[in-house]
Amino acid sequence: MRHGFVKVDTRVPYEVLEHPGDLKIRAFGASLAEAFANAGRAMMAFLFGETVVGAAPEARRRIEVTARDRDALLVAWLSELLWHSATEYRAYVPIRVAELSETRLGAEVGLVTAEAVDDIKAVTYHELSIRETDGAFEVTVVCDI
Amino acid sequence: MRPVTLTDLVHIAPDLWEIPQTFRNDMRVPARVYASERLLSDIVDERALEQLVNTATLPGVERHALAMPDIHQGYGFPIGGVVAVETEGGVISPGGVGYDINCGVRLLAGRLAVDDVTDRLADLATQMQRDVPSGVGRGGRLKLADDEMDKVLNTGLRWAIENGYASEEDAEALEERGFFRQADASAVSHKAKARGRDQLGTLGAGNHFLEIQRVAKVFDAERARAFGLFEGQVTVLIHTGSRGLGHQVCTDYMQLMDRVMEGYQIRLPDRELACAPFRSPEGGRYFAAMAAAANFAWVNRQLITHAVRGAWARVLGAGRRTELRIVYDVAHNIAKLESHNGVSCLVHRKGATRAFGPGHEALPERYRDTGQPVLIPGSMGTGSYVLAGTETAMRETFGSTCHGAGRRMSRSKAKKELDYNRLRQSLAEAGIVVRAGSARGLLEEAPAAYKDVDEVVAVMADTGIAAKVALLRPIAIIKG
Repeated sequence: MRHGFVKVDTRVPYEVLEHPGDLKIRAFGASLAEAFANAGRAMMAFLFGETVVGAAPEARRRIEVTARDRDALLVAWLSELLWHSATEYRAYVPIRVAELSETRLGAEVGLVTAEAVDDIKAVTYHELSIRETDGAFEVTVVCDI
Repeated sequence: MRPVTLTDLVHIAPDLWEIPQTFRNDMRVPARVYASERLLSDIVDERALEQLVNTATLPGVERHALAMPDIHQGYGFPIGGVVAVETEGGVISPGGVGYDINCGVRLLAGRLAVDDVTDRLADLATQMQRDVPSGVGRGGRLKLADDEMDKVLNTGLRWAIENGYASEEDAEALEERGFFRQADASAVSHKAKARGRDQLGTLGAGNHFLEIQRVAKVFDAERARAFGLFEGQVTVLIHTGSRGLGHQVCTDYMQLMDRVMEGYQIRLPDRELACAPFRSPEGGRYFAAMAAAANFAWVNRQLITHAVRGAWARVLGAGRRTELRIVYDVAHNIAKLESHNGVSCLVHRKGATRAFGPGHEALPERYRDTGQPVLIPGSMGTGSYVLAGTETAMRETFGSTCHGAGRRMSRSKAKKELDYNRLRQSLAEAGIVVRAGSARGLLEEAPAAYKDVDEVVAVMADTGIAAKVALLRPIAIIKG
């Protein structure tokens, strides 16, 4: 299954929900690939501040992750982004999820040198959900901060 | 799944409640909660008790799954939870340790009283902030090469001693003497090592902090004397863990356990409880990696101790008068091999502190008669407690007690509802010097965002699980 990258301007790409002590992200997309990309974008905005999202990338890279199912793939994908940005002190924006199946994700990402404003310890399965409603996709994920 | 309500809790002793094994048919043992009625009404409002019940379903769980009075919702396991499993036939779960492996607290104290440092307090705080890197994305002064990193992970405090950051006396005051022998650096992924490479000796952000405190009250003169504490004394509290290295170890092994669990016919109600038999290749490997991350955390707190000592010598002058020794160092996110009631157990303490009573062979000679010092950090700007482990804890809670105040307001709510200037002002009025890297970090950790640590500690003292020894009040706060 391949998902194209569809840009939807009519909806907010993501929102940060109230959660005790932690970061709960809900991201939207016209395709699941877009929702996964927006979840990554929400994470970058949290780590590096909103302004980083629009920055022009200095370089580009391809990231690939595999997992045993779709929920695990979301956790693995965001964990991979977190690891890269935490070790390289760089934001990964913009994000385009070019390839997505139940167990495999391939993304084209830009790299922006930026200073982190917040930390995330880990991405969790807690309250994780992936839903399709009226042809749109919504993913929810909680990060330990 | 049916939520736990107040009527499901059986009051079995003062401040002790039980959720019977019949509550859910997948429970292998009952679950118990230590709490006053008032704390309990806060606790049932969130999903923490459902998580507690979930931990009572783990294969090999011994006697009862436990919740301390600071219990709150975590991932898989509640924070403030204690789960002991039999080493033979039982499981090990990364979620039972948490993402910040060996997050813990260390207390330093010396000969000086508050009056001796009052004039230099601001300078001390400034120097400590300068010498101990803190905050988001701040690396430390050390950037470890691969072989040095492996030595830190494999030998913990032994590495610190060999490199001049610690003494044998320091090691005495640490659980496991700061050296988990089961550690194996090869079980730690290159990703985890990369995340921790420049973080040794750094405080981090979030609820981690450094405080200069005064001993405001001594409750138990005899134990306080044995711990080297006196009223009016200056102390330093260090609260941090294994930083990104530990977070990545947990992430890695959570994924591994998630993959292999089915093969061991383990089915659990929450994916964050992912586990494997302790006596399995995966279980053994996680334990070795967790132990390595724990070693990293002990060295982290040691390098911070070293930097604090340097800052004190610089501001107050070197010598015996200004020396700081380690009173004790506790881990409150860890799994340990222990024997309880003759059963060999792996005790998961997730947001809970070991509280071994008098006579336990794991304690250093000087604390054999008193029980181990237990360090309970309050929220920023409030009080912290020094307690002592008891025989009751050994009998009732696998030698465990609470770990802190427990958050009650979300970070975003704290930022929205609390006022930064008012917080600064109230800290200033209380005579507390603040060196904070960010306004946001300070607000998120405001005392109003936390439960009352006095009430949490009172439950532990009233039930005899821990004995109150001293109350510490902050006089300076240093955080990222």
